[in-house]
Amino acid sequence: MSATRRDLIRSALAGGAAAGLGLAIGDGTALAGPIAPLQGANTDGQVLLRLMEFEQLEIFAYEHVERTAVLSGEARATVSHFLAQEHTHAAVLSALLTKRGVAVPPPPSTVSEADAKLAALLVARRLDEAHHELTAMHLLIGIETVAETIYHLAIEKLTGPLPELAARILGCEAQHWTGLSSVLHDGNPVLAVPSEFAPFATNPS
Amino acid sequence: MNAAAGLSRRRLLGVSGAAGAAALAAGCGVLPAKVSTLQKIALTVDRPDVPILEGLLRLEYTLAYAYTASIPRLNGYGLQAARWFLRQELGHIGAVSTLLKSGGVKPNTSAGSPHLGNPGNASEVVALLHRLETEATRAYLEAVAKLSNGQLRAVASAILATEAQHVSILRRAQGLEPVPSALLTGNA
Repeated sequence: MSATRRDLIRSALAGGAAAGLGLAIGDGTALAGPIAPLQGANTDGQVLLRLMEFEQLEIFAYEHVERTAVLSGEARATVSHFLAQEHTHAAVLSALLTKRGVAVPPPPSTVSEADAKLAALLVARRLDEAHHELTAMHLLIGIETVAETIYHLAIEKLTGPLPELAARILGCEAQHWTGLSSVLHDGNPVLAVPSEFAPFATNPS
Repeated sequence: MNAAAGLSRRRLLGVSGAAGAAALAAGCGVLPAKVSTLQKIALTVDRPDVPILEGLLRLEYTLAYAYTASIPRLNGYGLQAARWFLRQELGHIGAVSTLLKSGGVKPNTSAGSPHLGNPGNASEVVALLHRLETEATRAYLEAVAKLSNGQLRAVASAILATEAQHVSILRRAQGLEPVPSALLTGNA
């Protein structure tokens, strides 16, 4: 992995290409400008709904990689472990939505639907390309980069006890980023924690 | 207390690494002192936020002190991680110090003399660093719950996420599961 997360985020927020790794403009279907995953979400319920939609996308991606990619034992164990934790995040969010009378959105049903959502979030890699460990890990790192960004933005918007909950999930997503990088680079701390702030670029607005 | 408009939060986070390097000088003597490049930030720091930020700054100094003291006693993977994480803690010191300045408060510039115990070997040093980083994540979680506005919470959470990553690497160095919980707990 040649690019750092800082490069990734900077490229994604600038709408530029980040060669070799997660975030970049994808295939002409991506947004031309910065990602704004919480744009228009102003109430706690609306923000939680966006977070839930993203968790479902993450789960779909992890499940797809677990099912279809050729992975080493370490990578497979890591993916399975993180997938279980993403399910926990979704369960927590689902309970909060239900409590507010907000219907839980349906998860992506096809690879092409999920790939379109990834493209809209400026994740360059696609599920239908993630056949091998390297591409699969890069895809998941790109998704976890977006996860960090979304939760970071949510913490700013949410009210009451919800920012702390979102921070607990953000901490876990950031650890996933580090864990996936560690699989690729034998735990190299410089590559696994590339910036003193996660995500490096904060609010695109 | 409104901060003077100037640098955006993104710029704060982007350039504070350099500022942080200067900030630690008085505390640990690690790096030569220089003037912070962060004099203005576009964030609002209200009076109730000040003691919270001061507490976080003390923790950051303690972490930087601990990493500095640990480096001579580490080798290999632990040494590589400690050197890198020290640099990042300096960045955190710079960011939190700048927030305090924006609130009209002169930030503390010393780690004091934290009691870190007497780890006997490299493994115990790593365990100590793991404990301190875990305490830091707990403190940042508490801060996120208490800070008065969303922008401050967002800055605190950006540091929190990095401390959580430090915890993961230090757990890995000890042969522990790097991501033990789906919800960061602040407990070892």
